[in-house]
Amino acid sequence: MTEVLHAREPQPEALPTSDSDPFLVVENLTVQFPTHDGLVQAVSDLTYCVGLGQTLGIVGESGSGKSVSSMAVLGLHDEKRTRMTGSIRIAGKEVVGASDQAMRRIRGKEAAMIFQDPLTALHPFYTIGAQIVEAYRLHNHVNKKTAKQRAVEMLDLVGIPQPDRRVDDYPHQFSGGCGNAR
Amino acid sequence: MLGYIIRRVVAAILVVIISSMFVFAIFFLGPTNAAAVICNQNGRCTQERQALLEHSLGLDQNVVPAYGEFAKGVFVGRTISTGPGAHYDCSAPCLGISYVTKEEVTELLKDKYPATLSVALVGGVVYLFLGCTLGILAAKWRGTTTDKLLVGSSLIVSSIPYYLVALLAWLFLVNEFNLFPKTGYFPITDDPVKWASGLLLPWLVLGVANSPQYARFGRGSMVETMSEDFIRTASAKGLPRNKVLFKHGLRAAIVPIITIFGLDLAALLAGTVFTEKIFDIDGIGKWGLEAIPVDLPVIAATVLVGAVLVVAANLIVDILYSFLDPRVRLA
Repeated sequence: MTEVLHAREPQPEALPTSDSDPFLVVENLTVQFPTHDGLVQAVSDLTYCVGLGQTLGIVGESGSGKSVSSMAVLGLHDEKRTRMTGSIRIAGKEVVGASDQAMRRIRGKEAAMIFQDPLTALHPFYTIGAQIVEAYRLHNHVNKKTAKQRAVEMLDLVGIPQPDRRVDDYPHQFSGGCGNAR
Repeated sequence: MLGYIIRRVVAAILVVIISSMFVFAIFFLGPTNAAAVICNQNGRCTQERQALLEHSLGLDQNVVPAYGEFAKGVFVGRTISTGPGAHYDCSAPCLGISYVTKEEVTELLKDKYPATLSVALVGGVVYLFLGCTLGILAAKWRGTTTDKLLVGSSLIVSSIPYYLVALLAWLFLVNEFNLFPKTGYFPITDDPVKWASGLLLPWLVLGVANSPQYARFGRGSMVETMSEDFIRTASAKGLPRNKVLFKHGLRAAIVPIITIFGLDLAALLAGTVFTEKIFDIDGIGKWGLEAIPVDLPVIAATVLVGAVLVVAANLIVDILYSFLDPRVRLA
């Protein structure tokens, strides 16, 4: 318990970055969810690191903690309902215990996540373009027109036919596989 | 889309026609003899006088031709005899002549409807905003003491019967302590300040008494939405928490609330009976209530207005839905 409290102590915004440190470091990560039926141990003592330009695939049966550990990297767990210990560093910045403010600058810029099942992971009432533009403009100071241009380029890049027209479509108008291109 | 709307409008007209038949038949064939009641009003009622009245009001007719007369009046107008030898030309849309005041029902309706419209529209907007705001806040602070207080107090308010809230509010706030101006309806075109002050308490009472339902519903809808995957996506993009809540969360959570509000508003527009009666507002709710059981043309008119409004609201809500939710296509 003391260890838990210690790990959740707010960390300084930017820890000194050592050049030898890989881009993403996950060290002794443990994620637990307190429930009415006791503590659920979702991830225990996970350690890995990924350098820039590297790819790491995490494989496991369902319920083995792939999603929970990956969501922890973006700090997407509800802090009131989750206990996290260990350390996650993205470009040297500590994620575990970081403020929402600090995490917002990392999310969608230095670390992003493509969720499975685009039909539920994308907002049903906003067009694909609007949702890409929104994310892009959060981290880049550009006007709407430029951002939309970029969104079309991105759709083209992932091989969506007629990207300039599809950009104004809603998620449900894309076929299952196509929708993955977010 | 157009085909859908045409089909729905045709169906709506059928529903209105059928409900008008039912209303007409229920009161026409009902146990109260309007002629006897009117005849007894001035004390000297004889068999002959009652029979004469029955004939002049058309109550001695069969129900089918009587309804035919009524329907004809709605579309082309008709001549109504208001007594032995007295005739009245009632132009379309004619809903008959009040048995009691001998005035044209259509004119009376036009006269009284602005009051109901004023009460219902503003009252409805008050409870929509009050309820939704409380519901969203409760959802935002889910599980906290604030949330529990909001949910608990809304349960208390909603478990008190509406007429009691309205009656007590009038009794104490207007009659006893004069905290609110005397209630009543004054046309907005005459004096907007008087209009607003006369309806202030009815709006508040209507708003407060109905808001818990919206608070609970809004909270539920919001909590459900916030657990959706697309909310997680919004956070993962780096959106600030309030933007996730209000732009992405509220946009999705508001759709079912709007649906219910449309139907609720229609019911209000059909006449806020308790509100009008208790706060002494001359709208169609009070009018219809006071027409029971004698004034058949008035009763038929108020029920018909209600039927038209509810049917129209259903149609509007369905069409609106296709604009609010791009996944819905009308066919």
